[in-house]
Amino acid sequence: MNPEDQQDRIDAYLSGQLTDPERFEREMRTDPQLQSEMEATRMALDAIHISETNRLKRRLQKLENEAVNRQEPPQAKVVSINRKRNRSRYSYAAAATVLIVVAAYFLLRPAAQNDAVLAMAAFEPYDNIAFTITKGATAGEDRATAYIAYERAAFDEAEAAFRSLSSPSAPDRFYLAQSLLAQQKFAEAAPLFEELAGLDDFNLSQESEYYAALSRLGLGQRERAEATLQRITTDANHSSYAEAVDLLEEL
Amino acid sequence: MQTQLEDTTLFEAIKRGDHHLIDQLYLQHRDAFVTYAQRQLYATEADAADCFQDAVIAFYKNIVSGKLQELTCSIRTYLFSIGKRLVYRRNKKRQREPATDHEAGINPADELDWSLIDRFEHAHQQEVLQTAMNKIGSPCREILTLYYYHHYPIESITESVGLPSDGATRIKKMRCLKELKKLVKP
Repeated sequence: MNPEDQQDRIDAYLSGQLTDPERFEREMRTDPQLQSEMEATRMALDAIHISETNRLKRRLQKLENEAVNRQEPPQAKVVSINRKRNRSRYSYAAAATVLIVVAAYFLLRPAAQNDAVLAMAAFEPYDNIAFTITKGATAGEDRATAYIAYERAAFDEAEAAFRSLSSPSAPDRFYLAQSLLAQQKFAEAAPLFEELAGLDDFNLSQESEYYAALSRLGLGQRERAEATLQRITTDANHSSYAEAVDLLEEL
Repeated sequence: MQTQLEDTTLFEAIKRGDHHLIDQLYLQHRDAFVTYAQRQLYATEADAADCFQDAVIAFYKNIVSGKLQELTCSIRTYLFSIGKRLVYRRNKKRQREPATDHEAGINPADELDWSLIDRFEHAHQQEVLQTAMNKIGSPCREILTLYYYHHYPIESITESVGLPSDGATRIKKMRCLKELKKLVKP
């Protein structure tokens, strides 16, 4: 066999594309030259892998450093619309547009409707960090169905799926409440978030408190929403501190 | 939140070999992951960011190697699953308080080839191998990297490197590999 064909077979074996790998392995056991070529190829591929991985890693580290260097100490008030996102020029523009729309509503709509608009402008569905979705999990795994719908932003389907769970956990109820809030079902979302906010051993209880305030605001219960937001702003370590401060200033 | 359509478009573009898209992957999901890892996994910001960089590279490598052929959940879910495991390992090394894996048993990272990820940590002789790659120089480094790492077809490499024909590229690739093998042989 010429060296090119042999190398092609070695490459195919190493990438798992050889049709009869057992035969190749038998050949290798009886052919020291083939075995030696195989080992050398393996080392060469490791060299390529390490070198390129290091290059890609440096590329991402550079991005990271640039991102960190761009973060300057706050000098002026910024009204947050999109939570936990990169605040690019475009997001500021989007935020400004939303604020103009919200301001227009303030002038033209009754108070309760204004509050609902304000609540939804400040709302962004919380990312799914509670459940990972695996291959084949869609057929018959109820929780998976619910979270897949949630990730697709099909909140009505997510609501139905979460409600059908026989023993929903606290995270399940949190994402049910998120699905309700996303559909502006404030009256159903508010008590659910308030219940979750009161749980001692739930790691999204602080976020729940903030979303409870948004839900109350959506219902036009501005005083109650403000009271919750005030409470959040007394704790600088509260996970929703920045959002609460921003929203209070808007109110 | 990234939509399914956007995810699919990005996934297909990466599959076609656009490795510059790892920048987009990183910037789109970095903040969410770092926040998550700090809150839920007791990671420092630096560790979380570092692990997330490895997660993005591992995800990319699984796509271009053909180990991951279709998305079964959102890209963010994949990246979080890989990144989470890398943070666990990091925490274990640092003997930090271990986080409880409340998602144990269900993890999209199970679909991936971890040998591609483990090599980040277990590659002994890293320096020797890196030096060998530096020694072979250009265009050998580009040809071998495009072929064996990014899995470009020969025709695309011919175009990228500017060789006269696919045949010439094949011969050049063989010669470059032979040279590299000589350099890395113990």
